[in-house]
Amino acid sequence: MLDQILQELPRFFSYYNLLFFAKALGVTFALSAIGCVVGFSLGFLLAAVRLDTRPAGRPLRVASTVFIELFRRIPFLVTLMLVFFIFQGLNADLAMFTVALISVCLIATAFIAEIVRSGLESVHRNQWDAAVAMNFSYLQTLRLVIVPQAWKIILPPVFGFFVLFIKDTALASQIGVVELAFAGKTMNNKGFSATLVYGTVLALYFMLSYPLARFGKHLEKKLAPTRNR
Amino acid sequence: MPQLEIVDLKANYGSHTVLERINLSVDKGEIVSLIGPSGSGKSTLLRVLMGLLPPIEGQVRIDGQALDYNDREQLRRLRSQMAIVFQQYNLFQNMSVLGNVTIAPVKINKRPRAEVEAEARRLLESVGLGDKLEAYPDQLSGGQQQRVAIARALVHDPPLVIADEPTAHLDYVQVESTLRLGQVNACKCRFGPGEDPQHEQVSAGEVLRHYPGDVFVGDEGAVDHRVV
Repeated sequence: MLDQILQELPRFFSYYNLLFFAKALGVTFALSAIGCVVGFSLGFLLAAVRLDTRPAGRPLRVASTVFIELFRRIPFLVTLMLVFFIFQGLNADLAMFTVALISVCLIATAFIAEIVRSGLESVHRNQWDAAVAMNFSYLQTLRLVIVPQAWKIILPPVFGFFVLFIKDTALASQIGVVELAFAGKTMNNKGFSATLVYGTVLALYFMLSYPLARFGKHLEKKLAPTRNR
Repeated sequence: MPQLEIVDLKANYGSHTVLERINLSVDKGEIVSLIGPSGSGKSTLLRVLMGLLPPIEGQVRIDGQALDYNDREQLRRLRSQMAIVFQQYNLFQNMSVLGNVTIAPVKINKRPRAEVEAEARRLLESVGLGDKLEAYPDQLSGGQQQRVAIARALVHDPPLVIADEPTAHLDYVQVESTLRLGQVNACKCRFGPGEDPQHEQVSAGEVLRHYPGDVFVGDEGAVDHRVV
């Protein structure tokens, strides 16, 4: 097997194959990065809406709860198909990449919203009381008091989710998005050794996820709420 | 007219009645201590006064005006005239001592940072924490945190200060000096019936006594006026 791989190496790492993998890596990176950024932003927003106990916020609270509970329970592949067929039914001529992007954003938002909510709720109730007693608004309480203390609870599971999420984007290959898993399947179908092809795909996924995990650790240390812990 | 008046107040946690028939009035400049066994509802009464827990029945009147707990603007005005020292201090764990004391005047009341910091430094010096300005709450002892909480309450120079066991973790010298800051208009102290009332004589102008038990029951007859 090793002989076969060594023989295939020059042909496998040809300019066009490398370009093909680079493009696939770019797609996986784009799906992951946009999904993470959008998911984190909207997830934070939904978590904040969900924790707001003011009566006027009830409709938004119910809507965000329904969204989170729904999309956390639907498998990613089903969400992907759902988005694909809904847009097809609406005769919207969307690129497969856009369909996959919408799906990853929906899933990331739902999962991250729940992680953020639990992180915000982990901050002791007396911190909210003190802020309210000092006339902080809800947003000021979140921004100045609660979120800075919740980072260390939120960040580890969020970055853990991001790493899982990068791997989940492989499911976008099911609707024909040429990302890393799709590129691997294509190269394998061209006759290259599966070990060589998927070994390369593995290395590329690792290249994406490892720096992200390291970055998460760095942020975790940097945003720790006090110097004593 | 009393600065603070509580009339037939009733407050619940869920279906459990914690306060019932509470009547109390506090005049301007008066110091009031609430005395009672643990769990009798003293802290709950202070939470009601700060608008953190709406009462089921009765009224809280500030300068004669009844407080509407559904009116956010009124609650905001109330809190701008009051400061509280919580029993657990409730210092913001993500902020230094100086940050804890200056955050509200700077961010909420929009006072100039330099002016507020100067005032905060003076107050922290007066409670013996001039060398702890950059320390974080979890780097301080209980007594030090308590003094930060007191400085945080006083930096607003509010007409009314509510303090929940404000001297519980202070030594005798600190108790004297803290109480003699002279700005605590209304304070709830930790002294109970039968305990040494040494500090009570420093702080208490009026003592509300009540009957021990699950429900904190107060009435006019249970109020014992005492001249300091």
